Amino acid sequence: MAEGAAPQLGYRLPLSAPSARSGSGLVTAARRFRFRVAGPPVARAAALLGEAWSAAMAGSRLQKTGSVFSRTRNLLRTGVVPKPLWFDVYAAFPPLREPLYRVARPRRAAATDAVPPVLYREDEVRAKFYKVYGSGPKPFDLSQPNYKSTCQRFVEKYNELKEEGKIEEENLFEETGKALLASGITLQRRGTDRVAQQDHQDEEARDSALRLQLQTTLEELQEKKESREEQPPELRETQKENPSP
Amino acid sequence: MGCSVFSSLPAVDPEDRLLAEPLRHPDFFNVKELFSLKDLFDARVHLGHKKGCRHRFMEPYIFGCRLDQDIIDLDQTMQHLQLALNFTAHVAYRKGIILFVSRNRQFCHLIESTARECGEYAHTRYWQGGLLTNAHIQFGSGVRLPDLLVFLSSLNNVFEPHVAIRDAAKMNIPTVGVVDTNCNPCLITYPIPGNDDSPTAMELYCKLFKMTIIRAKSKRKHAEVFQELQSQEKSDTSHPVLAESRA
Repeated sequence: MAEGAAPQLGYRLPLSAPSARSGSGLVTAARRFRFRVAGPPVARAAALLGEAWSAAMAGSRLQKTGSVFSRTRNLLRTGVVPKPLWFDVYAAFPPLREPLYRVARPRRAAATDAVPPVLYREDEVRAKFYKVYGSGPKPFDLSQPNYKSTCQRFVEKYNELKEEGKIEEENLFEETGKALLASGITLQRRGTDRVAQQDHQDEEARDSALRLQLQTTLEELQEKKESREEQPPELRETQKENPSP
Repeated sequence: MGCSVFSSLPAVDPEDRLLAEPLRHPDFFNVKELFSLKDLFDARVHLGHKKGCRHRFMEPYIFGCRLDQDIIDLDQTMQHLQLALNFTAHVAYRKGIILFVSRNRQFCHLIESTARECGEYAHTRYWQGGLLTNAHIQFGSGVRLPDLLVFLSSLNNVFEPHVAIRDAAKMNIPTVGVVDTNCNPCLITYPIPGNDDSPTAMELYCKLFKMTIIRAKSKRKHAEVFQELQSQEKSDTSHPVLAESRA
């Protein structure tokens, strides 16, 4: 549309038309190139040192204007530079996004296109597990690629029991704990129902938590003893890893 | 005079054919088979930095944020990696100079040995101001600048964009770079969104670049040898009288 406005002139008068700035960018850039390249000092130096030097000297160092490809294409069109090696390759296989310079301004607070959080259905079970049992009996061993943590086993057992459908929703959590106990993994409770209570008497709270812990461990020991008597002696070896004696 | 003119013509045509032939295929060097999604996942390429370090322009390449840690979208990484390796292979095929740049001191030796093994160059030390922009004064007048810069980590030691990215854009040199979630991918011609801090990921990238470059160079050698054989056959079978009548 700009070219149609002034067909007789070989160029447009760009500076007085700020609205057409994006369209005239190419023209103004080309004018700037002309000033940089075709000056008398360059011609003299070329005569002294040979063609290769002048060809190497010509170029466009405006990394904020257009991409490497667009600048090189324009330089080739004016004929000041020999065709670089990569030009045809880029033309045949362009990148997914043209590498234009963008100013990295900090975004306003209300970011509409922010990165979504990654959440799964099992996260509810995991959150409850960590709240009740803390970080689990054994640490994560990330050197193995297919490592399954206690929490992951818990979640899988939970899903299995849920799919079976025999147990109700409220009891599912405890049933999973018991099922894991039966397969040899002991879980120590961290301290129950301290969520919304901010007690002034911290010592009392600590004592009560300790007492609860003792109770639960004693209960578990008793359960284990009973289950040990029922189980065949081979399974006793799997229970050696538990911390409580 | 006529004989020399005629003998010069076939020299240009096969050369162009040699260079134009690979551009017709979408994946001439078959770089797709060098890596798979599982390889990228096992090498922990999808692990980004924490949410607070995220660069705004990396948001389109991030799959999601899990417990405040950014996870890079490996489907996009596959596409970008294929394009980048393809470009590198074509540049190596055309006997271009490739310069590996990284300021990550943990992998400096790995990158230098990778460059040595594939016959290209590496610069993993302090980048002096005018290495590209003032090359003719620093190195002399006849120096040839690299045709491709490969950034295996696009930040320098103070977590700012490496100066070479801007300088390569200034000197109209295309760049290929691994961009993590805290990097600016704007000026890099072929960015590869991926982790640049894990040893497994860096070893994977080095292995991929080395294999692509070696493959491209060997294909070039084969093509040249093949062409020489063809031209020898032609010169054996062609009659000098017939040649002049053609011209």
